[in-house]
Amino acid sequence: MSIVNAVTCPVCGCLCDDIELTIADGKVAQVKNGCSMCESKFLNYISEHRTKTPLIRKEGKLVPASYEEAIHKSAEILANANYPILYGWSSTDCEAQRAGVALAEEVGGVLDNTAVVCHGPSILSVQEVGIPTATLGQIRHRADLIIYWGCNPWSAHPRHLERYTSFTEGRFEGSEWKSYINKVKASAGRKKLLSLERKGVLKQRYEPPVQTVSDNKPPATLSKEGRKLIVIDVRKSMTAEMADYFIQVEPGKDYEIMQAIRALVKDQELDVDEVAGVPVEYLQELVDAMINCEFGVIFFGMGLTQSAGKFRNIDVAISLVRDLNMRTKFIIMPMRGHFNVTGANTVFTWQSGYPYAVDFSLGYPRYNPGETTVVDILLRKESDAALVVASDPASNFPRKAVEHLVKNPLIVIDPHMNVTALVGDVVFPSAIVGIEKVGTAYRMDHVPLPLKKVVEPPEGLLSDEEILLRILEEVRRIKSQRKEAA
Amino acid sequence: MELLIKNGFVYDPINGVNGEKMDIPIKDGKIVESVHEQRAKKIDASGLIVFPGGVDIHCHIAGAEVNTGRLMRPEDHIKDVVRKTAITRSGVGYSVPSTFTTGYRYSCMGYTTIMNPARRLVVCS
Repeated sequence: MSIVNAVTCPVCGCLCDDIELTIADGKVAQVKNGCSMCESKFLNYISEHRTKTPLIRKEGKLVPASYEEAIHKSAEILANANYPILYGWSSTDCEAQRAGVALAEEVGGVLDNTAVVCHGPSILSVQEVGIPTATLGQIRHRADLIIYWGCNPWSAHPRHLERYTSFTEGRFEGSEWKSYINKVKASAGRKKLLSLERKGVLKQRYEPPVQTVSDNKPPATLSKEGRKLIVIDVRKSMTAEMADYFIQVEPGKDYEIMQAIRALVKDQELDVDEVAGVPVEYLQELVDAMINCEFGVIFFGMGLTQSAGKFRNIDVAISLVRDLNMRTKFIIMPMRGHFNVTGANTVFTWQSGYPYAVDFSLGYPRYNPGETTVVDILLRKESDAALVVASDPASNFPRKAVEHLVKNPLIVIDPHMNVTALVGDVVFPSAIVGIEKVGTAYRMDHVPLPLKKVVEPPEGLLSDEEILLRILEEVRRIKSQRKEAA
Repeated sequence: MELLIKNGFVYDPINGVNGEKMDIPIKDGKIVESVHEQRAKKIDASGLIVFPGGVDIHCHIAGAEVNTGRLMRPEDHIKDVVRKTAITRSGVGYSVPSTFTTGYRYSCMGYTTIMNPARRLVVCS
């Protein structure tokens, strides 16, 4: 039995690097410090469903094959294709992504990552208006106003609040953990009293009206000292429960409310009484809190990027932060989902110049979201082969797109048998990055962190990087053979 | 491995060689007195300049800060595209070129070592 310290968790964009693992009999036996997602990844990575050999579809059935055979078959598929797509990349390490860029370039395919159905609009806006940003460490030590807009970190990035924002003890800003506990206790006590009153054990007493979700009235805590947490969303999420102020916006009206806030930040008067279901006087209090903070930060998620308006929402959010920077210090950051989606964008950018949707079919990188994005290519039925790495488009893409994806030869590289793997023609199992293979991943604030190898992969299992490099080698060999023959 | 660079105009400020036409014998990566005339691989550098590899002691071509800039310039990148060849990788240029292209362009200018402060040593050869 041994204990491994400072393990980086390969689950979400938080990339917590303080995980402590106990290894017994070559397996992870205990996980310390991790959230539930982290624990389930580290404790369940070996399941009975995990395949140990590559599979090739023969006569409609996936049958076991050797790595050599599967690599040769995949290389042939890619070498024969005119316009293959290479998709996924967000849940593997930068080393595999680097091999992926080389492969995409060699076969003249389209390289795209999961950002295309996630934070792609954020990237488009960053290219339009820029982005004022900081590392999570800076936010941890200095931020005194934290705004989560259209995201729910309590469920999606469980340790985000505890490690980087409200509930962390920073050098200049304290943790708000205690006040949250008090709030929870008070609300539990209130519920208990009410239930006793209902049962007739206690005499009915005057109960001050409890603030409901939708009235959006700023509580007194908005003007308190110390760190403030504001959540803006269309529904009262788990994160909103612990916020000092929760604003419920009418669905699809984030753009509107943000423009209203921008106007208020610029001391302009609004002619309406309420915007997106929020009275303007309440918005004014929100704006006061924003302007009076020392260091504010807006985190935003899918609620903004994938709702009506898409990249326009992010455009206006970044513009709002720009306006706020005339009055105080403010930054903005997307809540990236997969642990290395930021890495995929970073690696693609430094090698090809573009963050996602890179088309190599002309021999040089070309980028035109809407045209060279994978979903659009599939919907136009243009691709004739696909390689999917560490991702599951078959369960996430639009049905029409999946239909075309499945119609053509499909190569899947993934540690587990996901839906895409089940419909694939060549399926490679791979070692899990961050558990069975060392690597590098980028945190959501663009800080690279090392991923550790804590246990040995099942015997004979290659990593994503090795599989890709061997496919690349085989493609080059097939191509040079053809050249000689011709 | 022996190499003979012939007939180039050699510039070597440290040794006071200022544009003289001479041969440079190289053995195992180091400049030597002489090499075997027949066995050595010969490079004809007539009409060309031969000088020590350039060293850029301070540049910004790699790392997060440059990459942020690179990400923001797609409209520049389409103005200057670099095709893949049998031996070099594709890329884009103009305001913030992609890393391979940056390396190739430095090499074309005669640089062999480039230092990106606060990041890492980048060597292109």
